[in-house]
Amino acid sequence: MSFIRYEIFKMKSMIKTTTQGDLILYAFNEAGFIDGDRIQRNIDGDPLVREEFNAIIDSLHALNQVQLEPSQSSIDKILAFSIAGKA
Amino acid sequence: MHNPQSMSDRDLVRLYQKGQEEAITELIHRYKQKIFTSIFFLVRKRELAEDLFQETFIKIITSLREKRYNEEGKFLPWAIRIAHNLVIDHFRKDRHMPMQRDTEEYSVFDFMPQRSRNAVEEMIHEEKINKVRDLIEQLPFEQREVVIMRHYGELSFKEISKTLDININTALGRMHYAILKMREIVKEEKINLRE
Repeated sequence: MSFIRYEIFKMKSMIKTTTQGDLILYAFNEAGFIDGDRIQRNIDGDPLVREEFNAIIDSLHALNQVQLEPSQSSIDKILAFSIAGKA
Repeated sequence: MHNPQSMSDRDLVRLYQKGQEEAITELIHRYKQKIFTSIFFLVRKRELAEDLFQETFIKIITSLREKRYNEEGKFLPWAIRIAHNLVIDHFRKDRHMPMQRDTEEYSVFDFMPQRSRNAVEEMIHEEKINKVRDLIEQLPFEQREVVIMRHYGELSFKEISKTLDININTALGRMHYAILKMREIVKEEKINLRE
């Protein structure tokens, strides 16, 4: 292996790429401190990774907008069950 | 009893077990939307979602009374697991797993929380909410399940993998494909998710 090829090989093995799984875990605050720091640096330094991450955040933002409400009658029935059980 | 709104889930559970009804009222109020939304997106039928929502809380109440709750303050993920099990039981009994979208028509605003918006804002918002709802409904069941458990149920990916008896990478993969699918639909339908 030539010197240049060896240096490229060494650099590649030093860079840990950010996977989709990493980005998802980071978006949900499950990446941990050390991995989180690495992922954030990849997001800051790589436009493609940033684009992927923003797409995840956009999807989560969309999900946040849908919060459905059960009927009051369902809630009343649950509370009635709870009170009946006390007697 | 102190102000229930400022109390932790764990304290509310303890108070309920001591007979304070206000504690269960607060827990219902705190999590009704997340639990109902999760159930609704799994079954996609309003009446059935209402029934399963009631059954979920009846199981919760029974478990709390029998002191079978030991989730160390993680009330919502526990409640979502109960709801999910009831949904799966329902489909098993019914022998009908909803892999295709149902044709039932309804407006999501029939059961959206009331907010103070003017009529035009309300219409724009309604249109957008319905598009997002469609977005979620178009996901295959297995992906929808992971999205719901993680996003609405606040289960970690590790908890999801345990609940669904799948590898953590499978859970992450399903979430990844769900996001890809949502992106695809967003692009096709030109939905702006940022506002």
